[in-house]
Amino acid sequence: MNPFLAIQNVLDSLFSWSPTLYALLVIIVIALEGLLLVTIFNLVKDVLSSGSADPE
Amino acid sequence: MSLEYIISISWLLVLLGFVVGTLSGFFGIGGAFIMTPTLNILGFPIVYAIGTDLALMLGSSIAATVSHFRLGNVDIRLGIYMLIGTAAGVWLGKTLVFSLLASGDAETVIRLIYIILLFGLSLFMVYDYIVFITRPHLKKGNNVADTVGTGLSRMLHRLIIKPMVRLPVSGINRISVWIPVGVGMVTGFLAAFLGVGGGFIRMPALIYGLGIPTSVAIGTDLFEIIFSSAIGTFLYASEGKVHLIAAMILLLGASLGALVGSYATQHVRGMRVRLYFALTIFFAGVSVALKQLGVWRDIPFLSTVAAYLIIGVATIMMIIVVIKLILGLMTIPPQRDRQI
Repeated sequence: MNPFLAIQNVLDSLFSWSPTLYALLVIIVIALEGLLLVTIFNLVKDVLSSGSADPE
Repeated sequence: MSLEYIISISWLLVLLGFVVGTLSGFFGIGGAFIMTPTLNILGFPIVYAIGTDLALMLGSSIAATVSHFRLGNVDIRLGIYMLIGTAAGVWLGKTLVFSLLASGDAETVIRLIYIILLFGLSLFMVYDYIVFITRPHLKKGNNVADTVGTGLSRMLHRLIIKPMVRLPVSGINRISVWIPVGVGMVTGFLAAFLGVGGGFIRMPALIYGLGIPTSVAIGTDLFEIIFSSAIGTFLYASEGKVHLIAAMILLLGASLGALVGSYATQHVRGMRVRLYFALTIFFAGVSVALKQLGVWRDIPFLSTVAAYLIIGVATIMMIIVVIKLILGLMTIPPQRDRQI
């Protein structure tokens, strides 16, 4: 089964059970994704910039 | 909107997220005026386009705020004071809109005020830039990057209405707490009245009303957008109008874009950021005017032209920001704006 489709089915079930919980889940998932991605990108940037600042 | 379709256009969504995320991090805006019509063109029904865009805005504003916070551009204390005023302003704006809508056709009036505000703000900021570059200090080769303080902000700083607070991140030694609360209320009122996120109003309001540096205005504005978009996301998601998977795909590009835009503010002078911002909202005004003309004259084609215009302008701006960042990284180490 397509993993995206499986996720979509779970989300649809959650929404039909409790729209409020679903809305909270949307906020938490998006916030965590944003935080996670920016942390990874910043780490990569820091590693790259420290490498270029110190030739050794 | 089928999941297969979303997956089939995922590369386009990542690219689109990058464009909007870059402008969000660079200008301190949510970017709804770019993303909503674009998602609509891609086949999202307008309510889903708004809901999905709000969720994206939440994620990208968190990413951009974290990056700006690392650069020392977020005044959290100022942001919290403004949030209190924004909440009150949004309530007032919504109340006024609902009463106007109940009394008759207010939509045209609201749209016209929106267009006037976009053109007015952009023309004022371009005028401010021209005044800045023709000042004698620049002709002598003095390399000033940003101006802090206006006649209005100096007047507001002089008001003594207790309690007084200090906002060191914004470079304000003493100001009445009611001033940031009031600025938040006015911008929140306008945002709710016009039915927009309000980033494009708050950023100039912070610069010209409170007199804070451009980079801090951008960072603090993004901090505000986290809360406004979270409320919007909750409201739309609880109605089932957010496409979570699409928002997550968009956020992949938007997070990287937010980082690029945030760090680009270190390599572009504050006054130049204001000029780019003014040009962007000018074309946003043209786009909204075209769309409205299409409604008045019953020419649906104009709505499509309006959407493509704003996507084109946003893409050009994104390219400029990326080039500026690359050139900045290649030439000089990042410096905070020198201000007058």
